[in-house]
This record gives sequence, C-alpha cells and structure tokens, in this order.
Amino acid sequence: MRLDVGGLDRLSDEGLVAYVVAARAAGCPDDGKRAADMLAYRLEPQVKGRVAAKIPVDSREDVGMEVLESFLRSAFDGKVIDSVRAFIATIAKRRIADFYRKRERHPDQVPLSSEHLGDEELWGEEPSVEDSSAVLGIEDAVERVLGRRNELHRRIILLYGPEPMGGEGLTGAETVERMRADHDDRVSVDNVQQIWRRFKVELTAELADREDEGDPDG
Amino acid sequence: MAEIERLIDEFAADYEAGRDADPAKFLDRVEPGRRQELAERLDRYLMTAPTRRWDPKAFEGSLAQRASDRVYESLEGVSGTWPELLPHLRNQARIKRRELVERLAGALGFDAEPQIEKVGDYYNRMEHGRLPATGVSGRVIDALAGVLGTDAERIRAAGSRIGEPGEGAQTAFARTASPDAELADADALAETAPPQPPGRATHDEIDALFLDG
Repeated sequence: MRLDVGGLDRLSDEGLVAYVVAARAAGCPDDGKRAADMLAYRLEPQVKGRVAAKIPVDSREDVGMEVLESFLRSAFDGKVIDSVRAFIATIAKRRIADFYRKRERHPDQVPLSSEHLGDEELWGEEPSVEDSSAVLGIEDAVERVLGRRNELHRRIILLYGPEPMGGEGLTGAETVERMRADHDDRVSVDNVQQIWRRFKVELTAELADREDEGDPDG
Repeated sequence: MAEIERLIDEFAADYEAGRDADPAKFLDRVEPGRRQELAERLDRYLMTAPTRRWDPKAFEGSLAQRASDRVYESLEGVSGTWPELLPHLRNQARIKRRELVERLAGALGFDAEPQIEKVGDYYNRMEHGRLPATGVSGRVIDALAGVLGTDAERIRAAGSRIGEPGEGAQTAFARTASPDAELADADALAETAPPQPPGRATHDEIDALFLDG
C-alpha cells in the first residue's frame, strides 16, 4: 500500500525500513526513496551525536556521511534490521574505528581475527554482516559483564576490546598510553592483556548461558 | 552523579530543540575519570531519544538528503557507486567541483571554456549516476584519479559496481541534488540541469572520452 508523507511519518524506524524494501521489491524505487529520505532525516542527529563524540570537527561530516550511506545501503539492500537505532550505533562505531585505523595505522596494530585465524589471543569471530539482532545480543552480554567490573577494568576493556563489541580496538601499547594520558592510570601491556583475557572468558560464558536460555529444548 | 544528570538533561534539551548538541563538548565538561560514565549515559539517551518529525524544509540540503541521494543514485543509476565515491574523494581532497573540473579538463588537454563546461557536464553526470561507467575511457579515469589523489583502480572498480537498476531511474534524475555544504560554490557547472546526451552529429573528442569507453 502506497503511503503519503503523513502515513510514512507515523511509521516506526523499522516500519520505514520495511517500506523501503517493499517499495523497491515492488518496482517503485521512488516510493522507497521517500521513505529513505525520512529515515535519513530521523537518524541524522543520532549519527551526528555519535560521530561528534569521537571525531575531530573537520572530519565529522565525512564520517557522518559514511555512516548514513552504509545504513541506507543496508536498508535498500533489504538487510533485516531489528532495531534501527542499535544498528546505526553499530555502524557508527565501525566507521569511527575505520577513521582512526586509516589515520593512525601503527605497525603493531592488533589485526582483525580474519587476518590471524587460530590465534586465541585475538577476538573470536567478526560478524560477517551488520546483523542488528546478533549485535543487540552481544551488546547486552557485554554490558552485563562490564557491569561486574571495576571502573579501571571497564576502561581498559573498552579501549582494548574490538569495535564490534563497542571497544576502540587499540593495541596493548596504545591502551597503556591512553590510560596514562586520559586517566593518569599506570598499567602494563601484560595487565591489559590479562584483564582482557578474563573478560573474554566471562563474556563467552555469558553468551553461552544466554543461548541455553533461548533454547526451547533446553 | 548530580553533575552527570544535569549534563544529560542539558544535552537532551539541546538535542530535542534541534540545537547543536555536541557530545564532545559535554564530555570536556567533566573530569577525565567520569567521561566514560557520561559517554555511556549519552549513548543510552541517544538510543531512546524522541523521534524527529519530518520537516521537508530542514531536510533540504542536509547531510541526510545528500546521503540518501547518493545511495539512491548509486543503486538506481548507471554509474556504479560513483555517486558515493566521487563526492567522498572530492571532499577528502578538499577540492571544489569547479576546480576539479578545470583540472580534469586540463589533464585531458582541454582548456577552452566551452570544453571545460562540457567536461563539467559529464563529470556532474558521473557524480549523479547518469553516465554509464562502461563508456568512460581509461584516460578519463586515470586523469580523475590523478586530480583526486587516489588509485585509478579504485574509481574503475566503483564504476563497475552496479545496483539493480529500477524503472524509476529516469524519474529519479529529475531531482536536483544538493551541493556539499562545505565545498559548494555557486558555479554554474555543478548545478545546471542534466545535459542532454550530445548527438552523434556533434560527437567530438570529449564525447568520445566519456561515452565510447
């Protein structure tokens, strides 16, 4: 059913995504475009807010544009998006991480797990798609496990952890440096890795528990 | 705690009034040890902030409009993802469209004003998904890569990434895209109406470079 502007404006974010997909599938891309315009307009302040928190002023527009384009491309492509805001938050984190990765690539940077399969010191699996339901599940578990940590450990985990879980993906050395610069805390690379290892073990257990709870046979 | 609450309230008031709510400025207002806490609270607020109601006037020329136009032109147009990549590269290189066109024309050996204008028309069509990527010659791609300071292969590959062209492609292009706020200038080249494909009778060297592959 074709909706007018008022009808589109009353849809939820997720409803607009569904409308974009349906319109495109029905061979009415211009209708999909109207819904995409509205989505982009709704999300713009969200994106600007998230980007402004971490990106220097002169690059915010570029990174914000990349976040919105990535999101809209996913919407047009018909990707299943359970929570638009969680999804846009995930994309923003990734594009922000990309920005710093491009700008400050260090030779000792921790590689992505796909570049180092089998190395158990590295984060497990990278999500192959920006699947919001999976992301939400992981984010909940991360939040619960982080909530059981003290402030110092939380900061370290959020600096050292990979960006799919909301971390900044810094190397051990960078984490040590940031802890000293931002908080005047002195920790060693060994401390960082140990804290991370313990967190990872507990997060894995948390995720396994969650799967068991969701198993209808369990 | 009260300080964090106060800052969250202040941020929310700015955000909901459509004022410039810059989280970085709020984070700077708390001691380093509490920034993480405030960042998490701001993040949570953004997850539940009220939905922005549609305002076509505010949408006009916004970041949202440019993003939506570029993705749509990439998917429905005939130029692969050039509508996303070329403005991105141009912004990165901090080159205004007029300057880019002049340098591109110069690199291709054209310096007369009508020639520059014609190159500008073609370039504009590339940025808006209206020029078949297969028709653009390697010489143009190489020259463009030189002007934008990038790898020609990157531009070539983006041109070959075709979406699923829809029947709305033609009507979509009746829309006038907005210039980038930062780099826009009033040059006539960028914002003129889409040019008509030149007829074979007037097919010159510039047409050949942009149409014949």
